[in-house]
Amino acid sequence: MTTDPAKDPDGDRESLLLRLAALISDGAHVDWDTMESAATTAAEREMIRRLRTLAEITAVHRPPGSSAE
Amino acid sequence: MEQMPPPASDPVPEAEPLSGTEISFESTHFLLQGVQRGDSQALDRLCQRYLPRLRRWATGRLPAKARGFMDTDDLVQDTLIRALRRFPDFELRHEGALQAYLRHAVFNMIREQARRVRSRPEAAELDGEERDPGPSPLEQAVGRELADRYEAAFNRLRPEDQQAIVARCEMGFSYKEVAEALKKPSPDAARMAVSRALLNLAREMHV
Repeated sequence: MTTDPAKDPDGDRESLLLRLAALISDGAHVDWDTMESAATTAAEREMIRRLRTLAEITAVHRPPGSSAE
Repeated sequence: MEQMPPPASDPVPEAEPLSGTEISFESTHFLLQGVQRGDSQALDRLCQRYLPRLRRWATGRLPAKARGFMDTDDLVQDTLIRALRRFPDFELRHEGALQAYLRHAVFNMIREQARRVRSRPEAAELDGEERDPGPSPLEQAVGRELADRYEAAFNRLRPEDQQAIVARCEMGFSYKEVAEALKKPSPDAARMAVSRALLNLAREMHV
């Protein structure tokens, strides 16, 4: 994640969340504790928690051994 | 941050297996017309495609006490066949619409089963009140409140986002199949559509 203050922080946050969503769709492993602790704002942390919930929900539906990794 | 996930625009991983029951959209359209004319072979082909996925989805959603009450496999199969016969052909703009329609039909069947469990006479005789049908595997995984929030948020999404999530995250279709179902130009585009739909779903999951 960039720390360049000239970059758009909202754009960076959106990009990170979109990448996490893609990993959920792939059925890939995500270190959610690390992602949550690295969040820079309360709003970002809340969105990461919601994505974590979605990862748990999609795991219930996913057929065994079907991740795209 | 130690580990950055790959960007959503990364190429779709190659290892994803294609299902042995892939049917193109045009075939689905053709088969659906066959079903509605009473063609049993067309019905068999569509059941072959959808039944295993819908059974797995229903197993994750059926309350614990409803699972022993009726044969889930039979219920899903009956629901699928009825839904395929009733699906209005003009609604089949792309296959994603059919998948979302089938999910809705099975969801309603599960709700009906839960209602039946609650109102069984033997349940009422035991305590004089309606019986809780128990948690589904999904509710066991994330809790009833979050499962309800998921469903409420899902219902607020645009149909396009709903269809992307159903196809990939709930039915487990490959990105190639999702691209075909949603009329996306490539598996990469399908992956991006599913990712954006998941992000929109997360945004809708407010209390």
